[in-house]
Amino acid sequence: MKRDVFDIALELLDHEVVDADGVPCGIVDDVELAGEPGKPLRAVALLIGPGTVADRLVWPFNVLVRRFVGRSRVRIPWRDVRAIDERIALRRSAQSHGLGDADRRCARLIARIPGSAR
Amino acid sequence: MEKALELFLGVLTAVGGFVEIGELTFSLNAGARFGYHLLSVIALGTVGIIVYCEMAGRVAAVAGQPVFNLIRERVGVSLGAVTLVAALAVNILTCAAEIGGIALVWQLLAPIPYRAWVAVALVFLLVAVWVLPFKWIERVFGLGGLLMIVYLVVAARDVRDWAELLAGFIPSAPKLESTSQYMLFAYYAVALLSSVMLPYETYFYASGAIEDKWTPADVPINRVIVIVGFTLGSLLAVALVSLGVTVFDPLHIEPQVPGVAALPVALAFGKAGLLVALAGLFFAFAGAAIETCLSGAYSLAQFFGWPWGRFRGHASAPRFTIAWIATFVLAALLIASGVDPVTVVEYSIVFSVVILPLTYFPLLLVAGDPRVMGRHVNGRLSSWLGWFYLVLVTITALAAIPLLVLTHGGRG
Repeated sequence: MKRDVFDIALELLDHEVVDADGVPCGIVDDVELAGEPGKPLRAVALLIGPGTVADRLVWPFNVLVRRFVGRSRVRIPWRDVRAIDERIALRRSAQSHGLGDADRRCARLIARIPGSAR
Repeated sequence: MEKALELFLGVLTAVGGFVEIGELTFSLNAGARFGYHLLSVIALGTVGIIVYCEMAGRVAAVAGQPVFNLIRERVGVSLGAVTLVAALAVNILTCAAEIGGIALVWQLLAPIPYRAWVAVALVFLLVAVWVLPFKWIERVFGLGGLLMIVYLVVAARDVRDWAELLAGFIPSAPKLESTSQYMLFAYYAVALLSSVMLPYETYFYASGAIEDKWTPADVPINRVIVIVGFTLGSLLAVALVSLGVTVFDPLHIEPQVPGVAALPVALAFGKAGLLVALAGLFFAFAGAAIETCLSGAYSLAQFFGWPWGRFRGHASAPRFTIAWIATFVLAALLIASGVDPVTVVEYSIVFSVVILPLTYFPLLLVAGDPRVMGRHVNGRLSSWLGWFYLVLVTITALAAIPLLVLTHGGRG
């Protein structure tokens, strides 16, 4: 179903984001809007990453997130969004969007343990 | 045929996984202190956990959404973060208590130091989750937990007065001597309700449905598993209350150590009975340790949108894997520090009830949203029961901490 109008709070913000392979690669932590007063407001990008979510949290949660989860921020241009459903689907792989770097680093660590592919 | 087998095993694992260290402690003590009067709370809690696990399983099967995604989507990032931190704390506490329980049970079999058994339990749990696929984790510990049925057998044999037991299902308060005794009764009612409706159960159940790749075709199976499995499972809690009445009350024993629970079975069936009872306790505690640990990792991964699930393989869900390993290690360190597992479980259960409303509210909203659920949206019965229990757990949550303080942590 193609639509022009979305409820940002209910349908975009805080929804899970999956890449082209259906693998979770973040949550819509914020939405970048563009427009002037009196003119239509458009969503131009999704903002994803612990750095973005920390900005929305109060102390001590913002500090905890920055300290233990990270500070990364990734901007996904609106044209790279393929579908808006219960999950937000992207057009390309997480890596090509610059998402999941922390997962790839941790995966190298896990891969050293025998049986990690199981 | 395959569906029938899945249903059968699903029901059995739900029965075997029902009791953990918190329920065990509070059920035995409730019976020893207040007779059958708190059976109505177990019945009330069982219907509540059926209502909300049914919703959690249905939402997972239809929308593919686990509970923590819903919490963040529907109550927002700030309240979601509060719930996440509280849920992680409660999961680590509960996991720690279960690991302590395993060590205490093993100590009855071989008298090596408690801390050494904690280390052995940690290695055992890490290896079990690392090696076993999700379905096997569910089945090995769920089916092993069925050994707890031995408590049901002994309880049924020893019941003094069935009419008195059945009357316990009608809400009533016993005649007590003082206000502080009534306070303690209220504290036990809150704790018992919380122990039956622990929030990690919905996190684990919904995430497990996604691990098992449920689809909308599994909605009827989900319903049967929770209704039949949890009802039969709750009979184990009823049996423990009854053993509290018939065995521990006359002996004036306060069952404060998990291994003491095996006493009635040992009295009834000797050494063989004792071994079966201890094995049942071990599977129940180990199963709950794994469930609470994985629930913590599920919650964290779902809140931040990391790839998660045992079905992906360890290297394909790396931060999730690190999260569950860290949870086990933290829980083992906590319990090895020498804190009493039963004290830990008492606190974890009372704090659990505080996060129940924040867990149930988003679940109720999504399960009742036709845009998400289509024809599987909440019916009238689910809606009414859902709102009733949301109000009930909210009132209970408000009363929990004051009661914990006023009764000096249940010491009266």
